[in-house]
Amino acid sequence: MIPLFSNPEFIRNCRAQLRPGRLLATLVTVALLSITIGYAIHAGDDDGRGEWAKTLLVTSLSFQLVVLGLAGGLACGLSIYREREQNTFDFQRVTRMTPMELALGKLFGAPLLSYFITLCLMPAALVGAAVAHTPPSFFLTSMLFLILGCVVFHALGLLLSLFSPRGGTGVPGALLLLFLPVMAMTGVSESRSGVAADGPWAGIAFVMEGTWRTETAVDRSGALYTPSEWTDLIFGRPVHHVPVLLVLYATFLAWILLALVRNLKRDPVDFELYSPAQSVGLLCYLNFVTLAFYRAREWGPLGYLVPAQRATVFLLFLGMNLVLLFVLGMSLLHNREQSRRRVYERGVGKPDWIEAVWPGAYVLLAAVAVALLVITRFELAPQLPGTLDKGMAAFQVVFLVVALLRDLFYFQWMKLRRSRYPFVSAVIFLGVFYVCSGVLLSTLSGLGSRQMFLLSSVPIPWAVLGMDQQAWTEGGVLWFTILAAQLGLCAVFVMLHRRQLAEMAPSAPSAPAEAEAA
Amino acid sequence: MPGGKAGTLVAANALDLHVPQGEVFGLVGPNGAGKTTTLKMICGLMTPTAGRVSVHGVDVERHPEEAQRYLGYLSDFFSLYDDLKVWEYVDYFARAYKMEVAAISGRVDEVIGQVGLEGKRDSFIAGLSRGMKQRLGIARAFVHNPPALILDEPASGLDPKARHELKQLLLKLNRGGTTIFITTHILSDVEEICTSVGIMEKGRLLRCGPLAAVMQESRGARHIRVRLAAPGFALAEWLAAQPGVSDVKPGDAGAGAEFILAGDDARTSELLRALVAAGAPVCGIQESGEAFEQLYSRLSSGETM
Repeated sequence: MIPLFSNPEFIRNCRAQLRPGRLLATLVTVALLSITIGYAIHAGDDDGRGEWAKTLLVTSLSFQLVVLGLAGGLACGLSIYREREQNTFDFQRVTRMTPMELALGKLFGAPLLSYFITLCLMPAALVGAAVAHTPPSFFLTSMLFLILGCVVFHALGLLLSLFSPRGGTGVPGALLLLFLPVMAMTGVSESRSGVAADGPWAGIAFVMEGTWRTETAVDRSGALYTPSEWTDLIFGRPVHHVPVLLVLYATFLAWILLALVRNLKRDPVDFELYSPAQSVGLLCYLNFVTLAFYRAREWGPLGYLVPAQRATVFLLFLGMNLVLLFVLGMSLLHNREQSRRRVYERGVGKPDWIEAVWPGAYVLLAAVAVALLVITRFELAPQLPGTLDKGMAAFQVVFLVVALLRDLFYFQWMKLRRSRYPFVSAVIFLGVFYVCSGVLLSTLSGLGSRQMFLLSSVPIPWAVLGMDQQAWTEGGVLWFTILAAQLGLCAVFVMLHRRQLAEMAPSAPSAPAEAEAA
Repeated sequence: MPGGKAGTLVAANALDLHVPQGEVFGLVGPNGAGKTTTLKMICGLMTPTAGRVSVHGVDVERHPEEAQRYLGYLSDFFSLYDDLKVWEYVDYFARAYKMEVAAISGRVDEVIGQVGLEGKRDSFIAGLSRGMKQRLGIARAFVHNPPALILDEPASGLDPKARHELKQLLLKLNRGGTTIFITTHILSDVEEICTSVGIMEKGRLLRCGPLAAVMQESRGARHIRVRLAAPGFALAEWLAAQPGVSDVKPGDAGAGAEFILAGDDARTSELLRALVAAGAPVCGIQESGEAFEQLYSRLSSGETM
């Protein structure tokens, strides 16, 4: 692989963005701003205790974060999108640069001017750090957080830019919307989860109030907790927040880069965020991270945190994984071109059932893998209070996964239909179906609660999340009838999908054509 | 390369195409015939639904980076990086095609000279004219000295002088051994620079091969003009009575005629012998050649419309 400083895309960005005139103008502007702000902060320090230096440090770091995070993110968010609009991107796709080289060149090249402004702000930050007697290790760690956090954000911007449709202008807006929660996440303190602040702003918090010590304590219920924001609990063991955060940044960056690299030089018709195996891996990774840091706590009646009930934890993970499985399934759906290619690869004849149940097999595999992870985690943690009916829990999982497959099979069938916007139509139709079902069921509330519960579970499957022991026992065999109904609907959509595939299949050569070929 | 599809439209279907090294191959066809799709499949920008594309024996889909070593590509509508200078632009692509770093500087100047932009070497691309940008685009395409150049409508939008210069440049590159695959709407250019040709319509290749062979193969009938030394022989009537002769038009004040003859060279020779034997004072015969433009319009309207 080409080193970054010899990377053609990086060099191109250097040449285009860092012209001497522009550099000088930027340098002078930032220097003037730094001096003015520094003087204003210094002049406002009335008590003479040197607090101005800390304020200057935080202000400079905040400016650096906004410039590098927001401006750099926007530069990345627009880079591929703009190249596609100008018809220059195809020329990069036909060069000998590998997708990784091209991705790295853009990742570090597109926000180069933001990096330069960040560098120009460094003297002010260094003055603040020196006068405030900030330990160098704290300052360097802070910068590492800031840069690595922004690089993750930049990579996300590039990915959005790659996947944004031609003519769409939503990328900058989407990035701005993303930036806000990323910044907001930094304020989250350790409560339910065992991980502390994890946005790039954590760097600034670390330089202000950080410590290299890990601290733990035992709360009134006897559970281990961390009074310091700089200590995390991974599977109940204290670990310093700095390595945790760096590992999290690095792994998320790796996942984003993986998606970027496998799609960057592809024909947009063939875009596929992750391969099926990678999607299952990502799902398992997200569950692993959640399980590692998750501390099953809820507010007790006396106003302090107590261990959560087993059923609550089960429903939380079930809900989270249903959302993730849905996203995974949706990202695996094939468009017409992808389906046609697979049908052609299999040759003449009726499409086989494996193709017709796409992406069911991978969603099932992911569901099993995740279930094993979650069960293993909580079976090894018997301190959770309360009971969970295993039969009911198993039914809920199976029922919801089947219902999820039902919707995915529906989307897959609809996506292959010949219309201008088949997928948008599918979303609208399903949305209308759910809204109408909800309205209709609410008008039938005169029925008994048990019957209503059973009835509403057919069109609106997630109603079973609210199932309790009584409903489970009273429903009896009827629950399995409803499950069979869901399976029946799955079969209907699979048949419809298979019919669409059969229409795409290459026709068998006729006898005269075969003779001619011979 | 049997096919590439987009949506419900088959853009290129059952396409089996081989372009030998050193050819200037012209792919012609109306808008929407599938020419650009074909070119994009060759360059690896699009993946065919079925079949394969290989360049210099390298499978484009399986080894895209390796295949690009042998390809230079210019699309029909394109932009350049306006914020770069001319030499920086060429240098960028020389690096992107992974040329030897030591050789890049010399090659950049050489390529800029070949397209006649020496005077603009240090100018920003934003200030170049349309023709200059087109030439710079071609410079980008062959900076890594690929054995094959794929050009999609390279002459569109150019003034006559720039078009002439472009043709000279392409011929020069071809003489240097570069295979050129070109799509164009300007049919006179095809006759002028192409050694082989493919006529495409609605995703299918109607005719393909060396230009002369395609012209000959497609020629169903010959337009022949006969001139007599003096009037007196009932030429038109005699011709009309011959098998395979049609559309006889008397001319030259009774001392000549034009007609269409269905048949090959042997049939023409046989007819002439018979005419002389019948006592006609034949003093001249001329076969009026069908221009490629006529052939193209006949094929595209007659066979597929």
